[in-house]
Amino acid sequence: MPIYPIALQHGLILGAALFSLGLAGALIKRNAIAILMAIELMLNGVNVTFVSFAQHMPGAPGQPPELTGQVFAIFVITVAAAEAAVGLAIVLASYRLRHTVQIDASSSLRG
Amino acid sequence: MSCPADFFVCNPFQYLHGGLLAFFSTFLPSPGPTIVLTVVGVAFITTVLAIIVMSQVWTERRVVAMLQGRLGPNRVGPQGLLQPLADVVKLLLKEDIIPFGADRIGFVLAPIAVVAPALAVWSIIPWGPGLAVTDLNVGVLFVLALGAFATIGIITAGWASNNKYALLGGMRVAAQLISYEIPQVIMAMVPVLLAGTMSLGGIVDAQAGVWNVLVLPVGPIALVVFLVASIAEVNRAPFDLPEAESEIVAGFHIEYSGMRFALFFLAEYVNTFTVGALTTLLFLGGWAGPILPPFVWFFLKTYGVFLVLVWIRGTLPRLRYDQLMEFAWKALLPISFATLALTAVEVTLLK
Amino acid sequence: MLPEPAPLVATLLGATPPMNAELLTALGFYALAGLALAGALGLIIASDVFHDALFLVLTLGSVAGIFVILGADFLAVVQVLIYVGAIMILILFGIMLTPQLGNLPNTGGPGQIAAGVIAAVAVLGTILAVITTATWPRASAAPIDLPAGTTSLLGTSLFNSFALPFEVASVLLLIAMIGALVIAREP
Repeated sequence: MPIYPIALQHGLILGAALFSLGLAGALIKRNAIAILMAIELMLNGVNVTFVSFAQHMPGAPGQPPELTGQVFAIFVITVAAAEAAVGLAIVLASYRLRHTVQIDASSSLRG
Repeated sequence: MSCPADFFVCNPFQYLHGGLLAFFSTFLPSPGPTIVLTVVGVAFITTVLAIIVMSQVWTERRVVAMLQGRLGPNRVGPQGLLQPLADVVKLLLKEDIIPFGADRIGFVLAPIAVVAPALAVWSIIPWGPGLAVTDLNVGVLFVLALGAFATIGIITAGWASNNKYALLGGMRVAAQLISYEIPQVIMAMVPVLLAGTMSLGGIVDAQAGVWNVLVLPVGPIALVVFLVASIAEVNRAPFDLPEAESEIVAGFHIEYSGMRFALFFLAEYVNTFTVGALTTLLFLGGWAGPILPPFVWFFLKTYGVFLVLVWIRGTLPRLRYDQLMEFAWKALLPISFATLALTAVEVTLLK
Repeated sequence: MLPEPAPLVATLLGATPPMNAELLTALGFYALAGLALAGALGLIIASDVFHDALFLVLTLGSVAGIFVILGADFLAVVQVLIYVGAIMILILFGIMLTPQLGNLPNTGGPGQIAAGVIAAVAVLGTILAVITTATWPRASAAPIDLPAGTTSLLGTSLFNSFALPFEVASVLLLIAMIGALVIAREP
């Protein structure tokens, strides 16, 4: 099945929009787990950008496409998984200490 | 000797499809017949699955009763054959309750999120050569990935019910499915390595000589581990802790009644049948077999695997929770890693 | 005469003529993009953490669909398998393990919201300015035909050109696993 390309800019704009929405979420939210989710959203925006680029960089003519963008997206997903695991572990440890996941409760270092 | 592909009896669906396509092409413009036939195909598969689920319910109740020295349902219809139909009517007529304090949207969406992936999987499961809605070249992973949405649905059901037993059931599902997904996916990779493709049709074609289960020494190990992990994935006994009656009443679907409960029930049995179909396609040679048409062989083998699952359910007691986790992480996971490595070595040596 | 045996139901895209396929692809892309953005907006607006997670699942699923349209079938499946199947379930598990008494606000005060929105709009504006003003080498390419999918190509890339990053990623996962265990363990 041939893949019909979407204009590069449209993919990039979608990626940028997802990234910005994730950024807004990460800055607005108070719940630590919600912030983690917003960061996952940002990483996903980056992935959309990578995959859009991969589609428009097919490599040398006659050769199979290199798909470097998709390889990068795989690494991003790996990092996202590691981040989610460690992030949740920190949230759980902090919850055990303070019985809340509101980030403004973690202020013991404030003078 | 296998059923010749151009003989009508061996390939009724494809002739039916060709005939319908020719019929609709007489009065519909170009994409029309394909769209109509896609809808017809989906409706057909769903209907077949509904009938299969009813037969599964009857088989399971009768066989488990036989194993436990009871009679099982035998009042409605001959040999109790109409019992599932009576159950369906009962479920449909029941009052649909949304508990007070429940999260309405989550509560309503959860059963749909559980049943839709269960049915969608069957769009890529081939019943015979080329006999699927579509054959994806990432088919195996697609089937396993769709299960993820169902898991989200189950957790949502547990959380939205506003009931502590449902919540406990949902959390058990989350832990259990994450743990058993890993051996399941890794063992599904063994046939992929042996066949060199992830398309379900391709894997069956690659088994034309030797069924994967007979590829020594990895085949039998992979089959057993895959089956055990799959039983845990579909929450069947002896891994049915998410809905253990004696501990948490009914688990995540405790607050569900009527049609919504029926959807969970349907999804559970369709998923069980999917496990049978996947085992058949990945390890038992798919639709290959002598004389009978391919789709008959496919369903015979799938039903055979289902009977094994029923047998296991009727025989083994439920695991304790710590045993469940220990079994996944300390037994199945190392075995599956070792098997995968061994398969890679074997494939390289045979090449 | 009997008709030719054909696949039970041919895929919608494969059977329609190219013009329709192109149109359907574009329509699918914009519909999925809308869903993804709606999910992302919902994630920001929703007041309940669990609803946040469900909205994120919507976005992740839509992005997986977009990956299919962009010709990344393996990545789409991996996205669902890892994001929805592992990360989101882990997050939902975390939400259930951290119950909160009372209805604490999910979002910060008006100052925090304003700051967040301003920062996001600034970032979005900058990126959009770059996207619209830069000259891209190929604004739209010819249809790519990858009958065998991207899986084997990705595998070749990962184990040849990207072998070292691949190994580093595996070490990263190991460190993350041990770190998570150590941090979350009961003291």
